[in-house]
Amino acid sequence: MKKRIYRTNRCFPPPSFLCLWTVQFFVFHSLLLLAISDTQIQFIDVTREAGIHWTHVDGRSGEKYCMEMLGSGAAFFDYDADGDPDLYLVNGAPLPGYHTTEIPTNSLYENNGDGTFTDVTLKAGVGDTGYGHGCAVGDYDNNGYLDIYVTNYGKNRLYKNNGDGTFTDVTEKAGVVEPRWSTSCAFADYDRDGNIDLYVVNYLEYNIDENPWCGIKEKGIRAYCEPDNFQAQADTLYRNNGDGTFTDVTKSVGIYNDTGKGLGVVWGDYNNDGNPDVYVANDSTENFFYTNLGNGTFSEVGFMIGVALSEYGVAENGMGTAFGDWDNNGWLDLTVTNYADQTNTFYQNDGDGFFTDATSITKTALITYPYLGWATAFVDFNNDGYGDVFVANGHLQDNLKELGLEGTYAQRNLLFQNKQNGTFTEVSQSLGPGFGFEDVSRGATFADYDLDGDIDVFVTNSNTPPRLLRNDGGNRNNWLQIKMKATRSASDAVGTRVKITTGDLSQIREVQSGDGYLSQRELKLHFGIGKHNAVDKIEILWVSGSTRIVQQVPANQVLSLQED
Amino acid sequence: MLPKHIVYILFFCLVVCSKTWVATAQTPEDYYQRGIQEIRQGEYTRALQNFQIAVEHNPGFAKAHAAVGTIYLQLKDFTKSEISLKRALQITPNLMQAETNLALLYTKTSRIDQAIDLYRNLTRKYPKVVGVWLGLAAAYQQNKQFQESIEIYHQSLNLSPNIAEAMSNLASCYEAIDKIDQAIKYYKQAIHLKPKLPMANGNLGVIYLRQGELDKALPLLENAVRNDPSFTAARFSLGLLLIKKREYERATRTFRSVIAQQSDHIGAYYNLAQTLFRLKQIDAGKKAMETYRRLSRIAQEIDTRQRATLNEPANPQKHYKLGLTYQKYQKYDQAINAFQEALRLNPKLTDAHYRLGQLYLRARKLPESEKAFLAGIAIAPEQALLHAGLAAVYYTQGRLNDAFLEYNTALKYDATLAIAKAGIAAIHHRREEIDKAINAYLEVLTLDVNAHYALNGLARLYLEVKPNGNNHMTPQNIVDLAEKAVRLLPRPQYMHTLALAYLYAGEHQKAVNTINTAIKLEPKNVSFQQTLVKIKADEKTNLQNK
Repeated sequence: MKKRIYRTNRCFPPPSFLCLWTVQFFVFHSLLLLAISDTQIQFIDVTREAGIHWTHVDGRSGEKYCMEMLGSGAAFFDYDADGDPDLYLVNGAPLPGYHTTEIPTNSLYENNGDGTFTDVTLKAGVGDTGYGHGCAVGDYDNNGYLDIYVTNYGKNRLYKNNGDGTFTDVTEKAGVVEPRWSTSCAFADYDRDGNIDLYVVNYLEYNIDENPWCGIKEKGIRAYCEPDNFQAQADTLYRNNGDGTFTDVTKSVGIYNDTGKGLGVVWGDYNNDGNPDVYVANDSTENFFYTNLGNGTFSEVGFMIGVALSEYGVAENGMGTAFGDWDNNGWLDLTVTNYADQTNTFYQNDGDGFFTDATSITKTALITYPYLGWATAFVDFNNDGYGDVFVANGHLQDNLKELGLEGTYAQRNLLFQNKQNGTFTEVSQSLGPGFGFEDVSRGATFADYDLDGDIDVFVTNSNTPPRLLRNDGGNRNNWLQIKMKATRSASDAVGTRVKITTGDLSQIREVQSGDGYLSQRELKLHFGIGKHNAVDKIEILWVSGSTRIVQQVPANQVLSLQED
Repeated sequence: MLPKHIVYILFFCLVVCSKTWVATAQTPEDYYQRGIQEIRQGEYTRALQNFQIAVEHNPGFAKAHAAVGTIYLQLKDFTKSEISLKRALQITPNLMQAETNLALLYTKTSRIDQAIDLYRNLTRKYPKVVGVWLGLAAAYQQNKQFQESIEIYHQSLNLSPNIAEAMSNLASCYEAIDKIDQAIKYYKQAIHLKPKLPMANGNLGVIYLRQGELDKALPLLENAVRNDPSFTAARFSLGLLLIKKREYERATRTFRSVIAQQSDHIGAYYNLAQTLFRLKQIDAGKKAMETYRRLSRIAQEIDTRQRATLNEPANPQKHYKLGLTYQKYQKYDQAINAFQEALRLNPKLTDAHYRLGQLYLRARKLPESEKAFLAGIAIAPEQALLHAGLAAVYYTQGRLNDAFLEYNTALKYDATLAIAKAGIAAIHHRREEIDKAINAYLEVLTLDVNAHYALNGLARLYLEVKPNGNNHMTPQNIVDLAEKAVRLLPRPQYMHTLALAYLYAGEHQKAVNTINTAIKLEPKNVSFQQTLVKIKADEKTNLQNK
């Protein structure tokens, strides 16, 4: 079993080599004309020049309160519906023993459309001062504007977007207070009634007033307590009543489980039956997979289908999680980030209802082993048509050496380039200065914030400023972005499945609310299409069940589509 | 991950140096030579007997003492091994076999500093004996001083370049410090020298498996398992590989084999369930899943206790509690280690002495058990359980008078100690004081109506005496007693009693079923086998009479 703090023996030693993006030579579908070898992309840290002067505050005072470990997330979303992604940042709060004159708040930065942002928190009214962790966006009231749900240690918040640049806190009225310790959250229309529902992941039964002393008592070296010291808290599923209120349906739909110490959540249709299923990454307990039975209820099948544990049958310390079809076979695969001295796990969807642990086959095992992973996402950074994998890393113990542990508190983030043959190569060290930092990263969100046709990265760091990493060069390959508005389905189109075909390569994406860890990527879908000048076919499956096909769409544009 | 076992080199140089034994054993030297011959044939127990006779006949026979110590080392009886090796060195201080094996014993008993010191001395004395260098390297390796270990392995290989085991150990050192390329290189060299070497094949196979090189890993893991069928870790890795290749039927068989070798292998149960689900054998899969969950809960409990000891390594209570948890789940060797560590930190922890005494008694290590109970009594002379434990040791040794005295001492300090009363009953039984024994057992049951040992003892007694003027027990009464004992604690010994009770009651089929269950649990128990034969014979006679 895991020895979260003290484990030192290494089962998967890291390799001593690093592969460079530029020296990779790929054998792939020549007909597709997908060009990689000439695509040298770079990430540049543009946080300050973009006008984001913000620092995460975890409120630490040396008392090692558990919420300090988790950090906070962020969301890219177009709050003012002007076509460019804005940025919402979740913040911590002062904890007992922490002194400040300035109360940290969550912040909303409006995208100015010129590569810079302006802080509009006060005007927008979304500066929650609770101890925040996660956020997700979705249009819960179908008014055409994206709302924000924020998870806290303490009461969560639902901010209704009024459509005029302001928000209203409707938490109590909507019935989504959730007083437990919530982490990640995500919207999805699980019952396909045209109103998005809300999954809230809860973590531990932890009372700040009864903060236990953990660490090496004999030496007086204090550490953050492991989750094993606390009871788990059950997650909550809120069904949207369609009238601005929600009902807690956790037990009645078969979601209730009080053994999971949840941190990450992601919705996705893993069995292609049209119903969104939900996966929860739990910290030190089995991960959950709730398959949607299509009748408004779920069945937990994580163990049975092979995504609950490591291949050794061990419950790992799951942190973040993401769905993505890394092998472009039309079935959503899954990844989970885990603790240091555990690999991040890659579960390959076999298309028959089961997943196979393909971690070693993807050739990511040895590389992720020493890192403590948090946010993760499948994103096609070089527009070659295959989802690459981003991982945010950073240890949670800030005194590793004193504790006699290997590793470092600050760690570098990783980017795995998809080699288009079921394997990945870690290329972050060839991606320029943006990936040269060692930070204590937690959340991450993704969007083409500068509207140049490639996906940029925003990473949140614990108790330090975040980083906005601009992707330069990803757009040397062609791309297509699709912005969807639903009519019969929930207006934000969350859960919509899009399949595009270029030559003999097909890709699928789903519009996802909440993914990775505590965060939310932009809802607009982004596809890389290599050197193709057009997409042959776009097939859209809306949540309502209606479909639409669009043919011969020129590359390098944002395509807006509406449900008929 | 395969455990990186170190291949140790045991110094049986006596085998090489000795002449062939031909004559009938007469002198100590003859017995010694006979022992040597038996070692050549792998007959360690018989060899040990001959070495012991040699020592009895000539207590100053250093080589024979060393041989006894060496055999005990091979048989993992480290206490006896150390006594004999040290005795040999008292007689002949420079006896290489005794010195080198003593160093190995230190390594195996985790007294690494002593081992390293001794090996260092030996390398100065015998700089050209490669085995000594390898012993030093292995000690460093066990102590996780991998750089030192690597250096010494290289020196050893300079002396003798073709020792595949040393090459394999060297590779695993490189693996431990993340130098995978070097590890691969030396595993390959080891396999080149000795193609069937299981550890090198298995470890290299696992490296390739982790690297996702399934086709390279497969033949290596197959080779490892073929050449060492007991290599459970390699077999498990082979199963993992087969799952990745979607060969579910073969993977199922592989995981079943792993479980046959190690019945508490959590990973094997998990993967067995996975393969069975994929083969649509849902019920069997669920059964494996349930077993997995049960084992997993145990592992978690142990893990929590282990982490507590890591949090507070100098807190004896944490080690004691870890020992209790190990004991609870029948992990007796680990329990002994934990209790010993608790006592090292606090020699006055009487509960740990008691638990150690219990565990040694269970393992029939009676001198160690006696020592543990006496140590506890020296600290807490009024603790009844310690006296009862000591009495049990004496009883097992056949020292009935001493046992009787100790049980009574226990009862003096705790008159309600049912187990002491039951001990007295057993002594009466052994002395054939049947009425006293019955009364004592009945007293036990007044103290504790669920005292399974008393129920079993009583049933056993009644089976022996059968109805007479003093007791009116019917066969069904005896069956009831025995059944209750088994219900309370399904021990094979209690099942044996129950089978005999069924036999006495003429219920042959139940008797056969019950004794077969006991045999399944303890296949090597001769007494159970004899009872099965007896039941079948009785049944046959009955049928013939009918």
